[in-house]
Amino acid sequence: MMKSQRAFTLVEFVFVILILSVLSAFSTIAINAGYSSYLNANQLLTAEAQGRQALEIMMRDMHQLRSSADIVSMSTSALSFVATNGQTISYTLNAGLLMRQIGVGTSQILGQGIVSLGFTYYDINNVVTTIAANTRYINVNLGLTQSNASFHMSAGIFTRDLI
Amino acid sequence: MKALHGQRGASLMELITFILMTNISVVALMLVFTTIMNKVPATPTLSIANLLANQCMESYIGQRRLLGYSNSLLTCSNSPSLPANCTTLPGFNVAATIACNVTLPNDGSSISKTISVTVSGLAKTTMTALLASY
Repeated sequence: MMKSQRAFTLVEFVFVILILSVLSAFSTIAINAGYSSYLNANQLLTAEAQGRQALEIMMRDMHQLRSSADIVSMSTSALSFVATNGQTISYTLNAGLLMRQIGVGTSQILGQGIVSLGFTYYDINNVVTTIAANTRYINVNLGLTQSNASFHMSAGIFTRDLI
Repeated sequence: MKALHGQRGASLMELITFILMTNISVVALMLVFTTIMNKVPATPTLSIANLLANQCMESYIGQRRLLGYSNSLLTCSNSPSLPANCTTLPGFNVAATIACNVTLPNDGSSISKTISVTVSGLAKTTMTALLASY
């Protein structure tokens, strides 16, 4: 064997392993933090997308109200009305699920992780009303919780045909 | 096997230096990634701001159709009082401007109004609509 050729000693190997262990620990912390951040952001965006989609569907439905006589029932937590196709649309909150029921058929799930659903009704002069015949505006407020973060989304609907 | 002249493996110091540089690069990349992901707002604020602006604009459009072009809520002003159903949420502010667009030749009357609804706070957005007198 040539004089310049030799293998690593045990001490050198242990030294390298120690360095690798320390660096791996730091890398794991950084990777874990990054992954957690990604998961949180992803869940929040999913919740936002659900809330937004649910509100868009509700706004589209409510814009089809033809007459105040089409409002079957209204409260601060639920709304039911007859749509232009003659079918009754109802919105309720059931165990974190925002439900949209058409007629007597199966309910559709508009959103999950919904902690509150609120309706506020306004008359022609922008005064809160509980009388269906006087309703001209409907505000919908959704409370959502995701990834330890709570937020609200609010939408307003001017019922264009209730003039 | 006998090594050829001029050929040798990496030394221990070279190996350690390589490992150190690689790990520093990986950690730096992950820190950048974490920082970027943390910049994502804790709440989806832009969507909420857009919905608030739309809610307020629905109210103005409703006022135009229900009470007419000249109703008091559509008085031209840089800071008109907001309709009651033009609500807001914690962390957001809603403001509006109503500008009268006069006819030509200018006889002082307006044939249209430009409504701008601005939401500020956690996110900013502006929605503009033109309401005509006819």
